Amino acid sequence: MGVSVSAAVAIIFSGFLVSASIFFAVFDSTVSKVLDSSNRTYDDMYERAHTTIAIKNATYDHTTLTLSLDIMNTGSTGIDARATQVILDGVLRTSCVDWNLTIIDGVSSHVWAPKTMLSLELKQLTYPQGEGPQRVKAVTGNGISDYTTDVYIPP
Amino acid sequence: MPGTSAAHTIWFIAAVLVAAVLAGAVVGITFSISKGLENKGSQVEGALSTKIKIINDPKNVPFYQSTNTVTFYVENLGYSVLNKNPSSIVVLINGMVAQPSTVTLYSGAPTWKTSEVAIINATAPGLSQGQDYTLWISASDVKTGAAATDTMDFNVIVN
Repeated sequence: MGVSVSAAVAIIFSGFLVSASIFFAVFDSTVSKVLDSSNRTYDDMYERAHTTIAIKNATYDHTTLTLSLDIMNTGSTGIDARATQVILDGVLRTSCVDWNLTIIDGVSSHVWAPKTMLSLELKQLTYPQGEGPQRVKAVTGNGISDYTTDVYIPP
Repeated sequence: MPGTSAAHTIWFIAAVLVAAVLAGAVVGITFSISKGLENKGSQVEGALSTKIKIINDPKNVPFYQSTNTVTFYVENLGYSVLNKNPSSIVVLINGMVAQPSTVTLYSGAPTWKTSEVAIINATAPGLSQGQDYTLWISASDVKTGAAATDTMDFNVIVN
């Protein structure tokens, strides 16, 4: 009787040990995956809350068919300038951006730090003489945007 | 005496069998709970990692009258790769389904990764300039199937 009870207890105890090890392994990996995602989400929310931009100047030049944009990073986070999208009169025109001419505060760079000005040039935009884009929207890689309807067209 | 020994053996075998069944049941139940926890964790992870944003100019959403298509630009702001199959994307305009006809990535990349903008052309006959519309778009994660949604009120510019 004693041996039977000992054997049964040993088997049940082994079962509990195996169960605990399975559960702990899954629980640990699941909790760390969810926590990692949650931390990234909060980081993104923080970054978005501290990102703002302002289009300071938009000039369309008929002779070069180029729209020049000066956009200030008015927030407190750095932005990847290459992820910027430009929408002109409702149509996405980022493919017209010459990324080789991307200048930040006079220096060729893609690091768009707070309180610095990004200068973009959009090439090969054709409009009738005396006209240009009416509404310009710039969107950062994390979805923050600004608009301007004030496009200067030199005579 | 031989009778007592046989009885002990039977007791021993019975005790071991009952214990083994119990231990097996405990392991099986724990395995099942762990699997459920893992699935739920993947769903939560997918939901947290999946995010989209409609980046159109809401005043000038392009509508092409000749083909009855309206064009939306949707950026992947999450960390997951989204499914760019038109049948996996749901577009509702004023609550009515506008079936996406084509979905292409603006950069020409093969997968809809983070920061990639998708151009979604949806069929929506009868849209007109000056009317207000409400857009609702849903796209899903390729791996977990978790859906991200975004909404926008907009006007169209007829081309």
